[in-house]
Amino acid sequence: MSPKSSPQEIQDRIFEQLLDGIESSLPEALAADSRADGEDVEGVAEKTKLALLSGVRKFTQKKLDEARRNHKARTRLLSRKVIELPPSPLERRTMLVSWAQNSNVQLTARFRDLSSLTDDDVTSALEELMQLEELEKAESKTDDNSR
Amino acid sequence: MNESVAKKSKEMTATPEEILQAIEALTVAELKKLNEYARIAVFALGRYAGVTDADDLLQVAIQRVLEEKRHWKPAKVDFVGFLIGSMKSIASSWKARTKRNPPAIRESDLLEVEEGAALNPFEVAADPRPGALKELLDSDLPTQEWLVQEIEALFADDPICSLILGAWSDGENGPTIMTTLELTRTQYDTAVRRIVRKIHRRWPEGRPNVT
Repeated sequence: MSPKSSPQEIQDRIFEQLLDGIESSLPEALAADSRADGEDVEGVAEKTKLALLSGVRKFTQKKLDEARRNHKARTRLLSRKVIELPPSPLERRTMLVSWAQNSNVQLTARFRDLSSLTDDDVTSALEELMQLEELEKAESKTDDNSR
Repeated sequence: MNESVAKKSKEMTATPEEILQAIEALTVAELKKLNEYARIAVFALGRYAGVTDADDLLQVAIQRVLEEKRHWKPAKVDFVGFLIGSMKSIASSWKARTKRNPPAIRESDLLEVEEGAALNPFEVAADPRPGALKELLDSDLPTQEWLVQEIEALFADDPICSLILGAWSDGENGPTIMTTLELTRTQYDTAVRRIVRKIHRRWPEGRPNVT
């Protein structure tokens, strides 16, 4: 042992060279030596593959959890929002007609003839539309933040 | 980097699906090599290791790749070489981080005395450092020096390995050693693998705790 080098330094050098040696070794040579030593190389390989695949699963799960958290946050935001609609049925119907005329969204058959809708239908439709607008705003905000 | 170069660079980077396919395509020998590297890397890290074993290090390495903290370009490097590079980088950053943030003595561990109170000599004499008991217990652990001597002793009857270890301890690298000892590449690599296997056989559970 060199008197100038600490045991830690010597260890570091030994293992650095060992790792370089493994890196430059042919996989088949490493496997052959281990088999000759009686090691279950196939078993080790299987375990190693499972470890790598487990890493992939953890990554995928992390993404899913992130998506769930974002969805929950958006839902909470929506539930807190107070929907303010015009006070009278006529004002609400006018609002819905105006939205239908200005919007690019294709309405379902039920809503195409707005004059046939009841006041309750009009109110429900407006509430849904306002919630959807908030959802889109929230998603747009989340997308901006994640960039 | 201009836009076209950046785009080309991005296009050459493997997708998560390609990475998954690459894992599935690894041969038994390649998987063994990755395991071998991970085991020695964790052994080498010792107290710097942020993981407990080789499988943990492999999982972290692949997650780093998928999180795009490391980009695999199949045209430039084979998958095994790339994963080894990822493990090398992880090990290096763990070691650097642990060295930058060693454990500190907290003010709350210091002795508190009321003004004017007589000091109890036993309390004053007590070691206020955190983990004093742990340090006492650690003093029973083998030392780094012991570990180096144990490694060297494994090859007392193997002159080539013994010489190689001695040369490594002195800071010499593979090419220099091969020249000095007149070893072929194959002879050197064979000796290195012999060193690895003996270390594994001596400590099958991984690196012993040392102070």
